[in-house]
Amino acid sequence: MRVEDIVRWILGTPRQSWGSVFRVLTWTVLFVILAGQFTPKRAPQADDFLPTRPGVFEMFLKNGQLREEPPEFEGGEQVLNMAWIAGSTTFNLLAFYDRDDKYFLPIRTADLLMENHDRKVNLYSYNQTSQRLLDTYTVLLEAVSRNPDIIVVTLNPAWLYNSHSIFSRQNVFNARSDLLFTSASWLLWIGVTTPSSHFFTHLGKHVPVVIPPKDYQKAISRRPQQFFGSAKQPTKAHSGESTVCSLETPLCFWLNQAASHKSQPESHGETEAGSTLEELRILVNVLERANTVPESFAATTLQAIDKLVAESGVPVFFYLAPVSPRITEFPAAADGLERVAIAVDNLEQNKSGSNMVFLARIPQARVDSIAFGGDLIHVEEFGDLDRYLAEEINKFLRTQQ
Amino acid sequence: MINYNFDSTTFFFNLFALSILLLPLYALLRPAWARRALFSLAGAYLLFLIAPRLMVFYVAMWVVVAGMQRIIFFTAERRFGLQFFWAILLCVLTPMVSWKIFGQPFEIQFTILTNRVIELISLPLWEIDMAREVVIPIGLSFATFRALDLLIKTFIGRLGLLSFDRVLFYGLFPPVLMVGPIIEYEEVQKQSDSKANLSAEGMLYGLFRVAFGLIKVLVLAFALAGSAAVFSNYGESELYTVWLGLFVYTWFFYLNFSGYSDIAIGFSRIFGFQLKENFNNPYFSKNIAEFWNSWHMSLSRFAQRNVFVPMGGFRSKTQFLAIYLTMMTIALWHDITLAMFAFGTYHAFGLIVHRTLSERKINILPQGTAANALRVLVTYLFVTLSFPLLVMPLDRALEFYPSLVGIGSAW
Repeated sequence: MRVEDIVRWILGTPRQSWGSVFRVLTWTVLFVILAGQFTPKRAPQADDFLPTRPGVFEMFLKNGQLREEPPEFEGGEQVLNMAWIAGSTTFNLLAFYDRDDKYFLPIRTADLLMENHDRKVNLYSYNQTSQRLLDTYTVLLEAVSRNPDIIVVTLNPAWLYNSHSIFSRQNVFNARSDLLFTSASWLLWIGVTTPSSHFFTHLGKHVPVVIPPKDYQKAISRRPQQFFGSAKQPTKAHSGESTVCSLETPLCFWLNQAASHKSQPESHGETEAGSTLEELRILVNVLERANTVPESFAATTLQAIDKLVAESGVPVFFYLAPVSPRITEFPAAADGLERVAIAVDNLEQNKSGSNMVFLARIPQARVDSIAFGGDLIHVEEFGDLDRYLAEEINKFLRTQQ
Repeated sequence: MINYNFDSTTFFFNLFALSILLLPLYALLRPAWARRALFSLAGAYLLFLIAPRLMVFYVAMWVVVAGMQRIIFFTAERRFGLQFFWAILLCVLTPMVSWKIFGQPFEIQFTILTNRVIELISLPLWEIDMAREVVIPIGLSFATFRALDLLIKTFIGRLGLLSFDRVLFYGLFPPVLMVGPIIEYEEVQKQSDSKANLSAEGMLYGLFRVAFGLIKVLVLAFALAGSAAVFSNYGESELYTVWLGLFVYTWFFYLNFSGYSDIAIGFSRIFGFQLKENFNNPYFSKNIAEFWNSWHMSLSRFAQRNVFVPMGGFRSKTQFLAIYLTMMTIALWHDITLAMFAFGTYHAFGLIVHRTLSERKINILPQGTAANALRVLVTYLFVTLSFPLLVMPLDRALEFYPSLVGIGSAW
């Protein structure tokens, strides 16, 4: 039986009028609305590879997790509400694949904070692997609006001052596309939204079973600068690179990674720490190209973050995730890392409010206690980083009282 | 990080949302040229959503094809007409063949070149293109064969001189841009010339057909997609798991591909265009010839028209060569690799054996339902055994086959 015959069998042979079309569409819409009313909502599911405990709440709505709503923050004097925005540098990444000793830095730090407080510490986790600066910014907008007692933001030094990968594109797609639009951001709007994102956004507002509006993406249109405009920097070829396509532009950068990945079969190999050489090579390339000039995408976005936090009055603790001391084996990348640290130091010195702190450097002794993976950024054993962060967060909280 | 596999579903969701605007506009526009222009613009916009460079490339490509069509039309009967024709065919084939031969280096050069062209046209467009991660010329194989078909038909006199807007309309016809079918110009010609032919019947049929396609792709194929692991895990799998994985994968492949064809055909029907079928229950074919007449039929039809018949497929002396070249065209359209050479040879062998037995009226099996069921089973098994060649490099496929008899598997 051909598909056509099956369709004929379902539709039957009666006269097919425009009334039939209207009837079919009406029933479809009614069904979707009814399904939306009766399908229960639920809390977002935590990444199953991350440990959890009572008082830890996943805040990130993942793509494909429909019918979910992030929980409200708990109120009361007896609770310290801590939001933590981070990416893959806060858990032992490889445990996801083949280890059982899963470690999640925010929970460990929250536990240590509880030892020094009479209050219960609730952790509201906005953890998203491959988080980029634009993601951090939009998530921060959401976290700030919930007025927690403190927000901790882990900044990944490799990607922080990088114009090649400014957001995880799929996180912007299908997420309140209407809020992206302003006359100042039409380019971004055209660049990242699609007819289907508009359709599902608007339908989702009225028919929640379709897709829930993602509140953490709201008010992105309030950002003051042209993100795409800042992605175009003067082309500067590194040694050995073609000036036709230097690695200063996102497209060329990724093309280059793909090309050299393909041409270097050995890059699929494993380092002694279990991480692939490919990841190491990419991260070294990324760090070498840290773009900290004031006009860069990252610098302008960080200025917007500074302004946002100062206006909100919410205490926010930013820290730059540690990098393996082995970075010195890659002098250009080490230079890049130093530029990033200096830029974050400058953020601390020029911050707009006392309700934030930018911690650029973690003491060497603490860094030495950490066992890094082969790519120099991801961590296998966190040593006493949790204790150090708990101490620093405590100090910061005392200044806010 | 690099997106090699642009999600076709996203493309069709965009087409669906765009159609909400497109449909009333299409119905309201009176002049045929305006409706053709509307479709061309919609196709260009959908390409822009994948990457602006693809929009620029394909618009340029079809403008060039329109120019070539003119040249062929006016030179076909003249001196050196045949040479012109072959030179033009080579030009059209070059990008696709280069891609199939050189693979990633071509993709990178293609991307850089088109991206730099965009920089010359518009800086904002270039900036948007910079943020697009897709680096393959999506849809190039389908577009190339559609262009070839148009030009060949012009040369042999089956098509007259077409205006630029007609060629652009055919080239940028939105439903078939991503995953085919390889439509012929005649399939869209009549509707593009007459007034908008929106009917309740076409609308209902189209909607149901799209829903069918979505169920195939998003429900059935999605559920079976994990079967692809058989091509990497066969070394650790038990014998029955390898076979089961292979069988399930054939269904995943069919449901996914034919589902997208259903969606494209359904969308076209909503707008009043009646495209030819692309699949007709191929796994229930009773012999290999029937299979190739019901699997990716638009490609088979192209190969029959332009290779099988001209190469003497209906002449006894040349029929086997014609069969072989036809199967090679179909196989190498997918990819120019040793595995696809083997794939084409394998199926050509099957077709030649079938043709020989048919000509000599040798029936290995008697007539009857049970015998027909056995024929279907044997044909399906024959096709199934060629799938490793379709999805793996030859060296890995040759490692895979022994695992089907327990060598190298966990059995």
